[in-house]
Amino acid sequence: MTEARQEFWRLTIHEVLPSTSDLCRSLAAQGEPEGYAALALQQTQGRGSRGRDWQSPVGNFYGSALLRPHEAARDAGQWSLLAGVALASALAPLLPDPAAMALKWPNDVLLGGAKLAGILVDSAAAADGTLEWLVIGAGVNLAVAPDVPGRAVAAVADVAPPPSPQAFAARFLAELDRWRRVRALHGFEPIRQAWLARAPQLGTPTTLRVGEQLLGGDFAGLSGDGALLLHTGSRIQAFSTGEVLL
Amino acid sequence: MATEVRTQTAGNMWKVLVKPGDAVRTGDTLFIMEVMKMEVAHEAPVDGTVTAVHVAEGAEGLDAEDLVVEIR
Repeated sequence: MTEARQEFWRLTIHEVLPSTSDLCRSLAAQGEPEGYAALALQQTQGRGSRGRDWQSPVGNFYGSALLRPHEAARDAGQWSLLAGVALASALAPLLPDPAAMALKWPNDVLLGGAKLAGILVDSAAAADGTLEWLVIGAGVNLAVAPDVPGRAVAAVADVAPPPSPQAFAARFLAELDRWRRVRALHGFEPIRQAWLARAPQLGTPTTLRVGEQLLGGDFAGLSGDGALLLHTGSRIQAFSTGEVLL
Repeated sequence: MATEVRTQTAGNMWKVLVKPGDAVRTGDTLFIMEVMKMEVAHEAPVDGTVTAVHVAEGAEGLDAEDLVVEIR
């Protein structure tokens, strides 16, 4: 495991970067082989999903990894859930009560219902329908829970001594490698099951924002390709986009 | 003959970066889809000029293989 990881990842550590994902994206576009990974101890232009800011104070983890999976872009969404499973797997051993951690679809990691970590996946599709590259970026509140207006935010330090960003990078990259190998060997189903094992209970009331619309339903699991299933009225609907509101 | 650039995944149209008349080069990002909070950039397969854009930014519920951009 450790050997495989050391062979596969080429981690570079930076005191400060605008954004680890932007660095990986720009290297991807220049032809960098997969396995490149960047860790920044601080980011000046950290990004969350949909272009939102990601506050990046010293002490937390900000890292991104480049993959080139050579597969159909239509399956790309599976990587979003895989990244969440890998991140939760890396965090669980650090927590005194791992059961307090849960995944919010598709890949936020919550601790006691507050946001502990987030993932941003960037990719590019080639004209032949395959994925050209994939950059998985993660931000984890290890030492500090930044103030985010209107959001409950948690840090590992709230419940346990936090690891250094460097130590967490090794854990996260090892888990990312493990889960990508699981998927290569056994397909998406084990990832789906691992995700569900850290999901809210079936039947949990859930609100999904799709565009300007708010949809209410009860959590009904994940479809075979990772779409969110909500029980709404008398039927079950699958969603591959939208934001689950807390 | 126009080169058609179609969606490679189902999802929402998060960003459209070109408009008719724009000159593009192979590899330039034309539009970015969003699926499961993942951004999927679609690049120009050829050099040329954008002659049509068929999907607006913010469009939801697109399928894979929907026609988005034409380049000549």
